[in-house]
Amino acid sequence: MQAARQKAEEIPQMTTALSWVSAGLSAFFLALGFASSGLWAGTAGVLAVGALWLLGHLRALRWTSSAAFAMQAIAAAVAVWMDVWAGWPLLGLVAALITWDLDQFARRMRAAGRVDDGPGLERLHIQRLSIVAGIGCLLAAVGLVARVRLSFGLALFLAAAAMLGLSLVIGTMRRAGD
Amino acid sequence: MRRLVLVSVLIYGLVFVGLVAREGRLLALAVPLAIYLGASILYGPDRPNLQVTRSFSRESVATGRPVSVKLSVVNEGAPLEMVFIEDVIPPSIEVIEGASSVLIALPAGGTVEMEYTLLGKRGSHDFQNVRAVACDHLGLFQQQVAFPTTERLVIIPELLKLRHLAIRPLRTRAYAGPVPARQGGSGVSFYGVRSYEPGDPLRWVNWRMSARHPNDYYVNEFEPERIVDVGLILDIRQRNDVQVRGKPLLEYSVSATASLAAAFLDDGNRVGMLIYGRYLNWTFPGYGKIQRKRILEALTRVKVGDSLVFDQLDLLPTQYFPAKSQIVLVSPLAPDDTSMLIRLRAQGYQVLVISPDPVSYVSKALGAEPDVALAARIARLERTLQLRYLRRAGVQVVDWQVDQPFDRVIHATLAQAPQWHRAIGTAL
Repeated sequence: MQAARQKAEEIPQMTTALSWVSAGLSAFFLALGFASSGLWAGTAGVLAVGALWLLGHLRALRWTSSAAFAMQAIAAAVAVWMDVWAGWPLLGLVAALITWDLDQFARRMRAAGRVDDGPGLERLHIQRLSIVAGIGCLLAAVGLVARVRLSFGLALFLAAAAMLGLSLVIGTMRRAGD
Repeated sequence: MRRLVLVSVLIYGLVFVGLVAREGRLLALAVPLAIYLGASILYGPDRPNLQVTRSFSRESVATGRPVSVKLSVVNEGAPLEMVFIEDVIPPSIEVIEGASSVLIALPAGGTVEMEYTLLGKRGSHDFQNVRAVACDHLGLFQQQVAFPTTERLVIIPELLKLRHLAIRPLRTRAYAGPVPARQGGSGVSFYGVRSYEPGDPLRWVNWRMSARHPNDYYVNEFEPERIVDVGLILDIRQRNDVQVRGKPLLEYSVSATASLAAAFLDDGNRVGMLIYGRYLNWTFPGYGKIQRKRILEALTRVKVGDSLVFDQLDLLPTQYFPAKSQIVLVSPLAPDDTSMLIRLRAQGYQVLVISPDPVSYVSKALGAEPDVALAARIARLERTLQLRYLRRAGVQVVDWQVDQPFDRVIHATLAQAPQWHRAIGTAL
């Protein structure tokens, strides 16, 4: 048990490394998407956001992670809107999601004075995140490829029902958390 | 919770824009985020149900001594795949070794133990809560619970070991003790000679003197040693306190008062204590270890403060102290305190003033700039004059520069018995 206890600062090495890689990949995929369509302003923008994110890692800035994630998600939406091949924005968004999650996980580990079985926690977290990201990516890819014709009314109804259901679940979870 | 909001906003935003623009690819972009949110909901944590036990290596320690804390947590509820447990430590205490928080996966029935060492300031510190925040690995939803605890850590003032203190109040009590009683009787020290009275033991006869007076016999008298009443007064007035790097001069006064109380009680004397300043706190006179504990408890809670009523020493309730007893005032002294001290002396009290020097305490910290040096010189002159005036009025004064050991300073001062001391003794 003693061997499994480690100081929190020493723990998230794998997480930190993966976070750096995925932040770079996120910027790379999005930039590639914009560049392949000749949208150089978009390329420069996502590269700048990527640089900001890496700088945040370097300087341990708390706010950069969420801000960069939001900006990369918006950039992915803009890329799709601008008729960039949707695979690149999707990969960029998933990589950004992974980076944002790993940043938060690393921060949680560092905030604790002691972490028991840190490598085990890290392994489990990365395993779950990989599964979630993989399924998400797969389903999104299916969504990009599959064509289902829905009337606007039905689509609106389904979307409204999904949003309402999601709101109810989130509300319930938040109340339980309080 | 901000993370949850961010993910939700992004999902809603993508879905909304996708629907408005009738762009299915935007809806597809929302899918990874929705899956992420769904996984978080699926693995959402249960409310932690923990049994918390905390124990200290000692519940009462002297200032500057570390205390070991052992916190044991047992999970009596559902398994928690990630839980952050933190012992909420009072602000005036710091962790010097170990960690007071842990991040762990805690199965049902699982136990986690934390050991850490604390160092705190003088006072009574209540440990109120142990906080547990359970979350899933993705961390979007959290369950936070505070487990109330009732442990208290008491950090008493630092006690300095003092040898016997040579005090000589005018009146002693009836029981044997260490203080010369200023009257003839049975004892060890020679006191004087008087005429022989029937019943006096023959070994007391002073043959040399009797030989010079053929018609009379003379016997030696000895000075008995008795215990005395000691009244300690601790000055906690804000106007007399100064702070250097967050450490108030009062801490030295408190430590000195505690050490004096312990020394007087160890000698068997009856000791009472008055805390004067923000309020009046009177510890009724008593003997022994219980009285020592009472005084230390009172000193533990002392805080500097102001009161319009007790701004000056004039309202010192002298009726608390038995007539002609020993009074020990621990105070940095304000200029207008002199008159009250002289009045006490005039009423027959034996007055000893322990005065931590605020001038040197502050000036050493301020440096040696010309303005500071000049101000310190003026303040020191005023203080020297005041102390000299008190000494001439028969008040014993210990001018204590707090960077010097208190025991050495007080013994050096009390070892020099003033001339008037002996004069009063023989007059009685």
